[in-house]
Amino acid sequence: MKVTYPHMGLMNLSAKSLLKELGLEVVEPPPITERTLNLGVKHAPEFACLPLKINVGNYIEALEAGADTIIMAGGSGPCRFGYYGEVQKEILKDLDYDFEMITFEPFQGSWSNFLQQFKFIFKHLSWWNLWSAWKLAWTKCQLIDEATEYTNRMRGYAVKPKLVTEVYEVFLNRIEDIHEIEKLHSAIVEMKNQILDLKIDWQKEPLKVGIVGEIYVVLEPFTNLNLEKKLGEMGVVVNRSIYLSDWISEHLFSTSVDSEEHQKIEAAAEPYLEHFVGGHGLETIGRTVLYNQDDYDGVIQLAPFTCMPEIVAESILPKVSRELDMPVLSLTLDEHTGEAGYITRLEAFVDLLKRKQGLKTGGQVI
Amino acid sequence: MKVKVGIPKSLLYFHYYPAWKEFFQQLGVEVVESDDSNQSIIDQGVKLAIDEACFPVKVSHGHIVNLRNKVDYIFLPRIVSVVKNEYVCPKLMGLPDMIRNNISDLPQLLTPTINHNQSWFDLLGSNLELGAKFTDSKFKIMKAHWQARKALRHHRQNLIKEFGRDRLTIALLGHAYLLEDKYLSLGLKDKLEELGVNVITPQNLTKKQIDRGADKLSKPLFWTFNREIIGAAYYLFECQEVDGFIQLAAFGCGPDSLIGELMERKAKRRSDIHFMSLNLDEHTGEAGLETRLEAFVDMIRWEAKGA
Repeated sequence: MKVTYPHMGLMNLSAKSLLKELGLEVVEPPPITERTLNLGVKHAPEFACLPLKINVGNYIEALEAGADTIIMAGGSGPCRFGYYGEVQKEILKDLDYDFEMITFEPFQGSWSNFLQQFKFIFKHLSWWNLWSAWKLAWTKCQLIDEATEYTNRMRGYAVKPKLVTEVYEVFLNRIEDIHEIEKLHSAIVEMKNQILDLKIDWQKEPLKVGIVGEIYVVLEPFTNLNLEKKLGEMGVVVNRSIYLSDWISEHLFSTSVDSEEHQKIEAAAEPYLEHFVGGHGLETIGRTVLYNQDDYDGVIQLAPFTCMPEIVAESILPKVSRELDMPVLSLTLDEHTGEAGYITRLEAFVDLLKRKQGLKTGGQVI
Repeated sequence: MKVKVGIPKSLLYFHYYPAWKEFFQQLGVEVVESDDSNQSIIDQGVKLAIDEACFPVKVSHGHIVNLRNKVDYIFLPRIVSVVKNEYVCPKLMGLPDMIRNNISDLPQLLTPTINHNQSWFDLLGSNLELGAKFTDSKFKIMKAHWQARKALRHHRQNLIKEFGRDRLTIALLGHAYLLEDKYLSLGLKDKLEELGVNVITPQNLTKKQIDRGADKLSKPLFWTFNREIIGAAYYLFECQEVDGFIQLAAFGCGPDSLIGELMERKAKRRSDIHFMSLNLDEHTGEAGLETRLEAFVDMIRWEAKGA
């Protein structure tokens, strides 16, 4: 059995670690390229959202490379993600691939049903093996998120933001070969120290931008054309509202629905959106309001074309932006998104924020 | 003067209007419906809604504007779920918020939450709360609630159709808010009937038939209305009494893009099923649609003769 999974940002680092520690042979899909996208666009339904299309491209490229088992997450709606697996299975079947797809459904009130799904792994493994593999992968996932958050903040203060990116990338490369939790923790401390050793201007008051929107396009730099890095290298402090580790605990174990944090988001969104609408639609509105309360200069919403929950959010955001007097840029991404136009819009947005910041602090307005 | 409640003739109106009208009439309220979809409603809607919204959601914005100056209240329920463990599409769940934030000078919106994932008691509760705006008598509201349910049941019963084998039969697979809205669907149903075709839609099937079809899915589908469509398709694929299938989807419909793909792939694997997909939006031309329909019907007839 050679297992594979779709790409989503840096998820592959933790996924690979988990599956390998479980003793499975892993065939990772090649990194997403133009070809991946084109394969997906060719075979997936036209009005499906971008993640579904890229998934299909990933699967085809992984199957070509010899994979025979696809691992995918499921869901129970109302976002389309919950039904991706079923549609993708049919698409690949018509392409005559010989494969099996295992869809993990989220935890729905019964541990025995939930654990049943792992049967194929349980066959040859002890609970202890499973637990330690999970713990290692989970730590990696959380630390990657922590490192990303740190990098996104520090780029705004560094005199040469590009150097911060370099340190971060070295850390990501190292993490694959670390198999002990203590070493992971010391690696991240080392990364932070290296960044602090760079030339940093603490006097600077960088612009602060929050990123909200649909999780896949927020996490996957191929689809958002490296938004965080681009903004960071313009000297902007970037904060992302969703991380992979949040999504896993939220989607698979539905832990955070009643959490204090989530109630705060719901309360913040309430004047504009009173009900959850699937996906991260409610979070998009709520987080935008919270970013404003935290003195952020602007918010960028990322969404794939035809994403239903984000369409609801997008149609409400202009009013939120108007009432809070905070610029919000909605970017819709699909296979036609061109880099040049995208950068122009980003630069214009950052200029707008700079001008606004200048007005506020009474500094020079260019 | 009676209080006037406006009901936009769009989206789930086409599933629930008998119940909605009955409820308000029982409470002694005057019900005002928006006009049938027309060009000015569509134009208004397209202008007000965001580009990416699906065509029916855009048009629903136009219907609200059409009612804006005619009524005291607009009835726009927040429908989250109408069957346990299932949902409707996210855009319908967020519709009241989209309307509220995009259209100004609205009369008061009545947006009770309909969520069958909660207990039936919550449902009755939201109806009691809604009715309390118009009457103090709890009894009257309860009665209206039951009468409305009865009206809906009756309406659904009447839709069930036995289909004979006397004429060419084509199944139209699509949402009621497209198929039953003559302007949006460019009179597709009538056009087929003019061509001598017997038309059946998912609403004409019994729940049992739909369930039998939907059970063939590899995983239960969590959108109620799309489950009806694909359930109807899968049921009719098997029972062989239908000569052709037309999937009618609206531009930008998320769930339809997935179930359309499933239906089309299943149909194409079999040589005995005629299947066509049509996509509607504000730019769809009537002439082109007619040509495609005629060609589709001719093809089926020609093949039947040849066989």
